[in-house]
Amino acid sequence: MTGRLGWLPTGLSRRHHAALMLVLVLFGFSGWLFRPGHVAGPTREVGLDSLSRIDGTLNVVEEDRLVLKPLLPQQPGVIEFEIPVKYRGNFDLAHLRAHSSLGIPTRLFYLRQGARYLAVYKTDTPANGAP
Amino acid sequence: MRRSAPALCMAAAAVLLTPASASAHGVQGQVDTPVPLAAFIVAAGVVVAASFLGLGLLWSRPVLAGAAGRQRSYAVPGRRLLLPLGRAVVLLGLLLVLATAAWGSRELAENPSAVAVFVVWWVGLVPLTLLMGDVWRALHPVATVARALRFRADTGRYPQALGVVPAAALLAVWAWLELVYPTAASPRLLATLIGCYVLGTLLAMRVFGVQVWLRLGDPFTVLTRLLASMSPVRLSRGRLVLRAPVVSAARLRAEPGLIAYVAVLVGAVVFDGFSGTDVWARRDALASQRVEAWGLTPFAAGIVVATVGLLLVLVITGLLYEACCAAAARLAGLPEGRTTWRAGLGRYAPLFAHSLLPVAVGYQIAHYFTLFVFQSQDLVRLASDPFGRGTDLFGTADATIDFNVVSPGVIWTVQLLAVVLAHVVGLTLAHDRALETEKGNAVLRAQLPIVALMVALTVAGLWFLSEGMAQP
Repeated sequence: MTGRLGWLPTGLSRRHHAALMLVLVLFGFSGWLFRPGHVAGPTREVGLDSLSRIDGTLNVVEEDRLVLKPLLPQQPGVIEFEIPVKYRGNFDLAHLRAHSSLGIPTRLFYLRQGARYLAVYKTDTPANGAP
Repeated sequence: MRRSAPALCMAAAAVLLTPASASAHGVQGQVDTPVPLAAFIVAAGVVVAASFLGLGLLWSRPVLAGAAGRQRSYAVPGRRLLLPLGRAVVLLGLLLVLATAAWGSRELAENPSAVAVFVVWWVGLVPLTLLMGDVWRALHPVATVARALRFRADTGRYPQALGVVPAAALLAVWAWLELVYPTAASPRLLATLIGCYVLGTLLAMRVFGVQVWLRLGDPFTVLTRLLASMSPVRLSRGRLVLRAPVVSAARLRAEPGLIAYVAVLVGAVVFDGFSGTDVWARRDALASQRVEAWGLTPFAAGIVVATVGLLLVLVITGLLYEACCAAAARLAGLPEGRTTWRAGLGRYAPLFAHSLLPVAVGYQIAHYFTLFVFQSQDLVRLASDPFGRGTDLFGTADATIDFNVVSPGVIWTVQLLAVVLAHVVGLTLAHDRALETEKGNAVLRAQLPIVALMVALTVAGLWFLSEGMAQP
């Protein structure tokens, strides 16, 4: 069974034409969705060496808040971090949620302001060695 | 053994290229490695390309399929007891995981089900199969129930033309749950997913037969069947069969859906790596803003964007492979009388599909090595209090993860070797298959696009890993 659409390669079946159309739609939509633009992306120039850091698993991931259960036993309970607006570009929430849902240890870099913990940046813990 | 010299030389070169002399924090970024990280990545690509030259010079006739026939088998003492015992233990494990997911703590950090399913079982399935053969298919807990219910092995109803297409589709669903859906590991949802998997698998086994579904439909047993072809161990009718590793993969023949299955396997890990890079983070954030403008919540927008990203990577992986095969056909010369690109594609794509299997394995090991080594330790703590009620059954409720169990240098060495050796082995399989089917210069010409693909995948794989590891 061979169908022909004038602008598509010849010698393809209707099934292949349908698959090709779906791929073209996917590519077109992706091109629109992922086109360049301005966004507050990760700002890696935050001077992480000067920040405190802690490793743990994230129990809550929200746009302005993270709740982390520390891995080390001497840091019991959970710690709630605020994510200041200027650092929100450093936290890819969708990716963070997907990985935190598996309990992958996360390293948070943070600032202290009195009793408040301000999250600045995050990386995955394991590849970075000991907490 | 002489013919395996090129691969061994390349492996040795890869070992020499690893940052053994790097400091304890060698994996943390370029500043801590003896040469820039980019140099390692380029060198790894060069090693893979050079292995192609070595193979071309020193490997002149197909030997792997013949070598696969050389094996020794041994009777397994107590096999009549071991198999039912193993099946009972695995079934009990499934029931325990299901129970903890359904009735244990709702807190992820206090429930062992996610670690058991996503880390110990799913990630551990690859090394288990590589070391022990297709153990999972023999012990499959749902198949144990199906056999107890006296389901037939083959009802004759499975449409053979489908091949492993259902397994490829289900593997894509699994990849979506693992990599895209933000809360797939939350205990109650996980319990629902396990329940759906058990019921769906039982239904499929009832309709198509237990063995047929395990061979063609179940995404996990199709994986173990394919990976087991690279294992030095095979279980056959109660006997333990030993053979050279990898060689049996040369006997794998094309079946419908195999390319799609392998593309999903490789593409899913590529997406997992890519989604950890800053490049993706920027695109993801921007795309999420665009989707949120339609009125979707950030949660839903994140799912839409990541779904499109995953689909895109899966499709590109499959298309890249097919494009390379079409190019291989052009370079080697199309079959006489055939002039369309489809003829070449149809001829070569099934031929080389098995060469992507080691690539998938290498990516899996490299990407999930740390997750497995570190996070699986948490099961020791969680096992003492499986339902999150403050119990301490084994006295390990306060156990913590030891992040010093392997050094950063070991991690990077394992990751680099896994990626590079996987591609060298893939190239070797492709080369041996080309020698089976082509003659003269066409042998090497047919492989050129595959070599380019392998080099590209090596560099991309290591770049993703280095992005995930690098300290800002």
